Amino acid sequence: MRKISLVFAAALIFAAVGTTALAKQVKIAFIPKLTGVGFFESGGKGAVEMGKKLGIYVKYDGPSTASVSGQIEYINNFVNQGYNAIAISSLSPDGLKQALNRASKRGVIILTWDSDVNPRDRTFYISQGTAQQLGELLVKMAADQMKDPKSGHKKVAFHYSSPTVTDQNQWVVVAKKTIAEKYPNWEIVDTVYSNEDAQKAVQVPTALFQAHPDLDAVICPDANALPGTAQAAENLGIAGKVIITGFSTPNTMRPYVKRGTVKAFGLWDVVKQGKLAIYVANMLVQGKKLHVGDEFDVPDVGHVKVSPNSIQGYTYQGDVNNGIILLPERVVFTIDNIDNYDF
Amino acid sequence: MKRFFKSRELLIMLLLAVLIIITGLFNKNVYKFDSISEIFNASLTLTLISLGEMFVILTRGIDVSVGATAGLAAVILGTTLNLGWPIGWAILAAIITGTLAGMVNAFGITSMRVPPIIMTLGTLGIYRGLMRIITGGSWIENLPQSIKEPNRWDILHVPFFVWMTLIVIAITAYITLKARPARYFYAVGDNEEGAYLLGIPVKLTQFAAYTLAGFFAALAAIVFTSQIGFVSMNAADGFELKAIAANVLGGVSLTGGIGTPLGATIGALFMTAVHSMLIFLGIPGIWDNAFAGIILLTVVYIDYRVRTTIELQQRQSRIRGESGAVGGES
Repeated sequence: MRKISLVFAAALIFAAVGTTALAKQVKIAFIPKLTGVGFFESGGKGAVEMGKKLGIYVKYDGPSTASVSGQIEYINNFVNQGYNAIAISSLSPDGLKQALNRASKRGVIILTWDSDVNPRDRTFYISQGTAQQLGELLVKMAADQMKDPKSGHKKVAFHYSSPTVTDQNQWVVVAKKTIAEKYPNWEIVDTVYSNEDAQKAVQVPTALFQAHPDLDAVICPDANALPGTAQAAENLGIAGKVIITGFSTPNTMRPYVKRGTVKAFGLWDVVKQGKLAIYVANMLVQGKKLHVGDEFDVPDVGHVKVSPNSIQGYTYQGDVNNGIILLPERVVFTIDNIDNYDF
Repeated sequence: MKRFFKSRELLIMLLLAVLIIITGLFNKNVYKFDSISEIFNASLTLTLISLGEMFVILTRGIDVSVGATAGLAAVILGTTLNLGWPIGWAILAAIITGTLAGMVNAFGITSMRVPPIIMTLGTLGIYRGLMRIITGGSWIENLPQSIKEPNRWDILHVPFFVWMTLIVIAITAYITLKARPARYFYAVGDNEEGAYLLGIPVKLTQFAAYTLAGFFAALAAIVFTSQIGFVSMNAADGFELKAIAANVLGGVSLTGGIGTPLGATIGALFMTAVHSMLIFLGIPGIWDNAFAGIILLTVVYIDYRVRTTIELQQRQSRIRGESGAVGGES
């Protein structure tokens, strides 16, 4: 608690300074699940860059631990300071409901990015891809590294942070379904979790490799799990002999890719996701009305389209300024292209 | 020797052996030398932090900042390495950081008389905050290969860090058992006023305990950074509670004055092994925390039963007048 309140107090002071300096400007808050994680910091960097480009003020800040109550404090705080819009990567689909509705009533435009809330409680969700796209990508990256993915008995395992993390869980559900349909010869021997704990992210796959010495592939859609699994393979001297793939950031994975421990892994360009979120937020602040099917170009990001909420499996659909905007592309990083990215 | 057979250390060792043997019945891969060796290897960070925590608990104190201290030391190690410092200097900087962090706790508790839980809760926040301030909030990545190299050295097929930790444990055990000043930790924890009346420097002993906790956390940070290869902002998060649990499991009494480095080590080893065994058993990962908790409580309960049974027998034999010499503090 003390930790949170300290950070909160610091945030208040900084925020207060910001308010007086920039009274009339458009102000947009960009809130991560938690600060201090490379992925979110990079999203924040993109958001701030886009803010500079558009000549508006963008604040990247959020709780230092992944806590719903922490996110609520930040939302309330930004609302009270008269921010025009909030873009948030939500920790809970429903937990932020009251705070977000209060913000909307006071005229603050709500967007989500990376991790969504109930579509009634926001305008647009700036999505990295549907669970279907990302789940299939996970399986494809593993299959592409096998000589003959369709034949022979293949053993694979999943390693991610925890079954309560909505997005990771959805991807893995799709990935498991894809495996059952396209590769019935793959056996899923285990699904293990490391709870975003770096030490466990190495220990858990170490035991996994030893418990199943004939494992073909480990699929790790989590920022800690992927480097942890690669490190475990290197520690055991089996690097390069087992397929390790998943989602993490290029800067974390660069050394493992250079050494050949990880041959391919994926993600989306989170810097672009941050830029897109701020661009759309600013459009809405300027009074623009967007409908499903509208298309537009975003500098540095590319051509995007407004999709209905139904692509994410929702039934609710508002008439105007409600829907999902997908990032134009996902990225598979290999030794050939990894040096083009810095996040 | 008799005391050892009644001890918590032996009980936990036996239970650990039983756990490994049972797991092996389901998955023979556990019995491989490398599997056992890797469990030792995975437990090193927690073991080192637990050893430091042990000194504090012996003096009847508590330190919940050890995880944050390890995280801060790891950040200093990573940052200095990425600035191009030679590895020796970077390690020295990390050790100094950890020790200083421990001394801040020590100063607050002994001189400013802040209760240990309040002081270390405060520094927990401060040290975690410093990690973010130093790094600007992002992970420390792309560490030079030189820091990961020691993790690959092995002597007689046993990883270098395991040897290093064994030596640290041996030195700690020798000192706590043989060196007179080290016995002060026990005296202070057992009866602070009594220790004072005996002329034991109580404050100095407490100061040393928190400083040692910081020093050991820094050692853990070095092993952590070498083994993991990157430093995240939640590095060693939650290790303070794991270290306290490992100590309790290993027979270090929270009321002070009782416990050994061997106990703290075995407690940490047990806590780590549980997670690995569940994977060998193929138990789905969602059960992980629940199982670890159940096993922890079971061990403490069994230990309690064994202890009360022994005490009952001793009391009965004393009543019968058979022997007055069997008893003794355990």
